[in-house]
Amino acid sequence: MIFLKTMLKVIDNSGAQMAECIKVIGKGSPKSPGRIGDRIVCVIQKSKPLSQTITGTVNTNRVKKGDIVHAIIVRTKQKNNYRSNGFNVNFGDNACVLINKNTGEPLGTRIMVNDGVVGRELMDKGFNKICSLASKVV
Amino acid sequence: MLSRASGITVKTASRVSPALLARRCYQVPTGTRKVLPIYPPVDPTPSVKNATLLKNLSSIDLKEKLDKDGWRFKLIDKHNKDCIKVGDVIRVIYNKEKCSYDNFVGYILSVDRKEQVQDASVLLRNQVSKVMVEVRVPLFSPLVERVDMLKKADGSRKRNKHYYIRGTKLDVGNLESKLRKKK
Repeated sequence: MIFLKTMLKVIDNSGAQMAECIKVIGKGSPKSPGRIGDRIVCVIQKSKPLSQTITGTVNTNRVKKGDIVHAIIVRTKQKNNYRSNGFNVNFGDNACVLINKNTGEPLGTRIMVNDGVVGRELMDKGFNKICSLASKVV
Repeated sequence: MLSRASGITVKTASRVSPALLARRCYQVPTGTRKVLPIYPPVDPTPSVKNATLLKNLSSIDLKEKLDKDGWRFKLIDKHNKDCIKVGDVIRVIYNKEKCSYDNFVGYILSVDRKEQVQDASVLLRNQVSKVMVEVRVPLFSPLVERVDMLKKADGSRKRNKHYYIRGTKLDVGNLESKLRKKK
C-alpha cells in the first residue's frame, strides 16, 4: 500500500537510493493505495553522490536529492493482493523504478542485480522494459 | 428427627446420624422427596434442503478436474505420513503449457487447509537475491504441475505456523544457494 509519505527503495542505476511518495497517479487515498505497476510522483530523499566516473549511466539522467520524479512501483509489502490466478506474492520491502515524466521510459539503464526482483503484475500492465531489465520476476 | 446443632432446627431424614449434623456441613440432607421434572424432547430443527450440495460438488470437482491422480490431496492429507509439513523446503514447478513462470523454492511457513479441500494453500518464504519474497500457492491450481520436497523439517521448531521466524535469526536465507552448498 503505497501512498503519501511512503518511503520506497529505488532499484535502478539512476543514482537515487530512497524516494518518498508524494502522489499516486490516478489514486491517492489510503482506501485506494498504490500497488505494483502504479505510477507515482516521488521526491528523492537519498542518492548516490554524483561523481565523474560512473559506468553504465547517462550523466544527464542522474538524479540528486530533492528532485521530484515519476516512478513505477515494482515491489510492495502488501500481503493481501491476490492475483487473478489465485496466487499471492508479497516482498520484504517497497521498491520503485524511476521513469521519465513525459515518455514513461526508465531513467536508469540497469536494475541492480542484488535487488532486482520485481512483481509479475508489471508484465500484465505492459512494463516490458522494466521486466526485461529485472533479475527476477516473481 | 429434629437436630439441635448450632441452634438451627432442621427436619432431616431419619437415617442421618447426629454426628454428621454436628459437623459444619453446608449441604444439609433433605428430608422430603425431590421431584425432578422431565421435559418433552425439543423439536428437531427442520433439515436444510441440499445441506451437503456444496460438499458433493467440490468432491466431484476434485475427482474429475483438479486432482485426477490424487497426488495433490496426498500432499496435504494429514493421515499421509509423507504429507508436506511446516518447515519443509519445497520447489513448486509450474505447468509450462499454461504459464511461463520460473520454479519457486521456498520454506513452508504454513499449510492452510480449508473447509473445501481444493481451497488449500501453502505459504512459501525465500530470500531471492537479498529480497524476502513470500508466495502463497494454491495447491490445487492447474498452474501447479508438480511439487518437489527438497528438505524435510527436522521438527525442532514449535507451532503449526512459523510466522514467528520472520525478521529473526531463525529466518530463511537464500535457500537455493544453501541447497547447492550442501551438495
